[in-house]
Amino acid sequence: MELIVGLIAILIGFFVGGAREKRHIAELKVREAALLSKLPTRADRGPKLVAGETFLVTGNVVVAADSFKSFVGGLKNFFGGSMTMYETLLDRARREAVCRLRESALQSGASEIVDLHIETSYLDQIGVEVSAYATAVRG
Amino acid sequence: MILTTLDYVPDREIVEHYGLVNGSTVRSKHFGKDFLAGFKNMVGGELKAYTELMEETRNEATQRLIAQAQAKGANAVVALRFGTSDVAQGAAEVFAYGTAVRLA
Repeated sequence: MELIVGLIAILIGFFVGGAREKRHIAELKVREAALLSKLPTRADRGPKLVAGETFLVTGNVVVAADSFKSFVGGLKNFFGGSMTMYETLLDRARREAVCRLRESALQSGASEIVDLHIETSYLDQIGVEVSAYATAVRG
Repeated sequence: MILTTLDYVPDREIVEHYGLVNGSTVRSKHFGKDFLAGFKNMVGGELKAYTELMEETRNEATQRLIAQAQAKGANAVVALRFGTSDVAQGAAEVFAYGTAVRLA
């Protein structure tokens, strides 16, 4: 009985989780393309700003692996090797956090983002949080 | 209060340094938001309740940092950084730190 429940969970993870991941990646592509020309963003501080108003902007997201990813992760953990399914999950999370940061900056009238930091942390029994923060420049 | 990750504020002169200020908050996962987490762990993806919880936590840590800076007489915090750590089973800490300064 438990085996059947586990198997159903893995199948749901594979189909529903997989479809959700595909949809999310497609959505990220559209949002990133829209931001590309509007809001130059850099991880370094850039040339020293002599004018303009600066303010703090943030973006964050908490994600968890679906049961299929967790199952395959468990197997791979045993045999070793690269964990592709976690790589795509983290990649999506980082892009989402940075997208949110940039969208909120754009809404607040920013024209540029400098000094972007990305931080990843494991939340025990929950998932992984990615948080991004940066300085937005207006004017 | 001006907050920035840069170590200066454009077009403003720093007239006084007050040193390091910080703010931290520890929250547990049992915050009444765990209702759908079990189901979500099947389909994966974003856990919105926790995204919001972490955002609130970060805001609270920032508020504490601001309070500390204000108590010193600062009107800005420069070189602001955040950190998150898993401190105990099911509990996360968010801390913010930076340099408190007074701008002319």
